[in-house]
Amino acid sequence: MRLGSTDIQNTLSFLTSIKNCNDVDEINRLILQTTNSFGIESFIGGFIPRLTQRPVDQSKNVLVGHWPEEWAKIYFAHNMLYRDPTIRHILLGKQTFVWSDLTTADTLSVNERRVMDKAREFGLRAGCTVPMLSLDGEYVGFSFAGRHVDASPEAKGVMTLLSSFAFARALEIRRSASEHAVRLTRREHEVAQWIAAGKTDWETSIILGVSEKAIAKHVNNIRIKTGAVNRTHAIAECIRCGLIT
Amino acid sequence: MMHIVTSDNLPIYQLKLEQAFRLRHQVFVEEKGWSDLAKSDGREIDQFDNDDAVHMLCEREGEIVGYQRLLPTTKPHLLSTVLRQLCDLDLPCGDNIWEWTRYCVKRSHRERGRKLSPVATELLTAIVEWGMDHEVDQIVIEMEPIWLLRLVQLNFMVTPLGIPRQIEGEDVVAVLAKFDERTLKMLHSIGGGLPLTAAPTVAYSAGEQLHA
Repeated sequence: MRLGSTDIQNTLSFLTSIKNCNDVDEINRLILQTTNSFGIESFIGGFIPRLTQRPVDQSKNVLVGHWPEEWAKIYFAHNMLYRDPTIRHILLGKQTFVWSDLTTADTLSVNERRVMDKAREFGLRAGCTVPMLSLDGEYVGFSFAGRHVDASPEAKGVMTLLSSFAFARALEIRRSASEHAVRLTRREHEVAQWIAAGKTDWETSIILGVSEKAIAKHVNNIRIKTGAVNRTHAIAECIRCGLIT
Repeated sequence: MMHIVTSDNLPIYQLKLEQAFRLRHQVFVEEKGWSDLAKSDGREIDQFDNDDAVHMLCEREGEIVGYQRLLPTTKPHLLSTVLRQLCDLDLPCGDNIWEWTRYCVKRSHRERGRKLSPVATELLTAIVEWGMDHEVDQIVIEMEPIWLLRLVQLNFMVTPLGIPRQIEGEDVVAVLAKFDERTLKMLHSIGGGLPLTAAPTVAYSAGEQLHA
């Protein structure tokens, strides 16, 4: 056997399995299972939020991951993203790197060092980060971490490949979920907004300048689309799915 | 517009191909610093620019602004020779498999953002369209891993041929990428495949050249 052939075989079997993953939990399990031998205990993958994004929205950029929850909470609440040297390196468009390369370098600012030190408290002592670029030009970062992480070029290489394919699959799953999501027509949307504001069918019909019967029909369509049992339930579903506010 | 240059039509494309060799020198030698490719006459030409090579040139207003080269895997090519260390599996070989090399876009025609530039999209579309016309459905690529995600998103069915390795300080991975109508559809949806004479409207990147 050629040197490195086990790594490529493991990667190929990962590729076969990832295609059969139908939800993010399955992807997460598969990644942990495949990287376990490299000492990986936690990982996270997502788009790098733009500076203008509210802290509360930043965590929504995360597509996959098995990451210490408490650490994620502190991290996003304290806007550590902008003091995180791994994020800075992703935005430089660098190739896959191990964290020890960063921490041994003198280029870390005091704040950046603090972020890395804080991460250690949550078991993220060593790590490896894979920068990627999405089709629409967004930076994507995928970080693997644990107490002891294999920093060999082969391990780095495997993690680089896994990240790209796992992230692509996660994007596909997210897209197909949104394609199957309920969509309201513009009229149905208007009707739902007024019903949610407490208007009756008759009142809504006056506001929109159509017949009361037409409104009743729209409400029934909304009910069928949301799989609701009655109009109150339908409006509740619309709000829950974020179709109306 | 795109020009496909082979040994059959080479004589009428002599001047444009000269421009393409200069573009290659600008991008790979002067910009990327691949000094072993440097030539005193400013034209980057190697042993694979032979009768089997298919050159694809993208022209804008009389100037060659994009280039890529396809080599048959049934003859010596980069992966089978100078980049053999990138392949941990059996070498892909067949009339339907060609190697994609020297992909580059002139600096002035790259997107300032990180999106795919019209020229880049046109080049990619040209591979898929040429492939479909010539019973080619797979390409071998030696590339920087940062672009892998994008390749998969373009509906190329990508299989790595080895683990990424460092070559002169850069991570490079060899992959086999299969394409079909879905790939073409995706490229069209992001702006490729417009009438070749018109400027596509959609937007690629600073370091957008791949490795080989």
